[in-house]
Amino acid sequence: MRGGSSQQLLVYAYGPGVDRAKRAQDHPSEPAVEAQRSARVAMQRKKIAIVDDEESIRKVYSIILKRLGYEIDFLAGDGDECVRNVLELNSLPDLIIMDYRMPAMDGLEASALLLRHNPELRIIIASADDSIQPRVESMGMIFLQKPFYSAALSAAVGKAFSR
Amino acid sequence: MDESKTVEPQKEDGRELATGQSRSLGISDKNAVRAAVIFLIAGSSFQVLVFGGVLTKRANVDGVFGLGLLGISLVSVLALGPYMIYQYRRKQRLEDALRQELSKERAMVEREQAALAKETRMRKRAELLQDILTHDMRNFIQISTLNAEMLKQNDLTETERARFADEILTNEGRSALLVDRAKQLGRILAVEAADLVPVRLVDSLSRSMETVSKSFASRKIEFSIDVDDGVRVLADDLLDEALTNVLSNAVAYTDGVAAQIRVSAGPDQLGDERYCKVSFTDHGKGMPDSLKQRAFTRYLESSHGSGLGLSIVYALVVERYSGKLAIKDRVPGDHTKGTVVEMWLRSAP
Repeated sequence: MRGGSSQQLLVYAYGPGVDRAKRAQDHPSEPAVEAQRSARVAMQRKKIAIVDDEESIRKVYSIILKRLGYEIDFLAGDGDECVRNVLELNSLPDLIIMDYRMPAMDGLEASALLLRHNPELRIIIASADDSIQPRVESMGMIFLQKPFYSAALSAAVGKAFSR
Repeated sequence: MDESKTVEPQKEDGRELATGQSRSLGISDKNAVRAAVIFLIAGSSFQVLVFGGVLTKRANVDGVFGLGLLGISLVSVLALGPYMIYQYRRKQRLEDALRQELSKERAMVEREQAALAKETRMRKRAELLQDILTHDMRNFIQISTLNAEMLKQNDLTETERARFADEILTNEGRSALLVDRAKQLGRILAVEAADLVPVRLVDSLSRSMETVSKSFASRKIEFSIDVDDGVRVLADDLLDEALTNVLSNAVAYTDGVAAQIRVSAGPDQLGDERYCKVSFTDHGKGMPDSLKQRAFTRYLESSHGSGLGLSIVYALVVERYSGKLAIKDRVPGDHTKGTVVEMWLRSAP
């Protein structure tokens, strides 16, 4: 389940620092929106992988992150699928945003495997279950408790990349 | 005496306790018999010596006295037997009473242990249910929150705006369904035992199909039923819930507007029990093997797996109706081509 990561996606970016006053009016036409978006310069080109068993969550994270200027490396519905993408298909995301409770392999198990392979890998565990926070942090990862606003997601991603 | 020491209530194993008890009775019996025999021999010897002495030395003077002594000793020997029998029976009665008391106590302890185990199981289930519901609800809130935030953006096209709004509405529907089903599962789990009666399968299926059709009003659902009118299974009025949940699941996991579901039923024998095997075949996106194993028990045993609907199916079919469930691929070896849910319900006599 690989997400698109073309240059076209980057034009949706308007992260921190972009002048919001210049945004389109309430109901702009689609070509106008495209033009406005194309005018914006991509702020980031970092690749992010999104791993969550909830399709709607993958979709909305993906939209937000693209708008923040990041590139989506791949989307996965399970820890097992994520591990396969990285270890077998050689995907190299700069950051993985991963859920904890997932069907075949949970987020912590997948993270442990990935970190063993690449200890430098940045991982954010986004979960509704806060009982795992100490374990997440002891593994050098960032914990983000659901539900959160997009600003919190943006801040967590920024924090991960500042490390 | 020995009894109070050897018949100790702290021995938990019933068989061990019974053995210990009879062992203590055996020792007491031997002692009693031994004492009686010694007493009889000693008493008789004494009488013989006394009587012999009287006959040989004081025959003329003390003959009457000697006969008197003999009479007394005979009376005492005759009285000893009934006394010993009385003592033995009394002890037996005490032992029987004690054994009955212990048996009652053991039954009470077993009942209390069973109640405690059930309470622990129910508490764990309630905690797990609460935990997973909280988790799922937070996920739904997450979806609504982020989509609502996106909806507030000024630079959206009408299409994007509609898509975010649709996501929120769909998500709200799912949240409401989750709450309803959680309530339903809680109710099912709370009922200790069910009075099962013969239920006509086609009737329950008809009602369930109608419910599912109404729930998915925007979908075009095609049901194909191959069930004899006379098939009756041991169930109750909640059978509709089990069937509705299986059918809903089949529709929910089929992409697109149209959904085809085939339901067939036939007799099957598992061990000594006669069952009716009901198969629900869909053409949905299927279920990987890793999910199949725990799909029915997520809310009952584990935090991984599929949705709440199938946990309701499990609680009803397996736990309430003593049936069986299985999931397999419609096309063996290719889970992406759809699923077959197999349900065994006990046939009504």
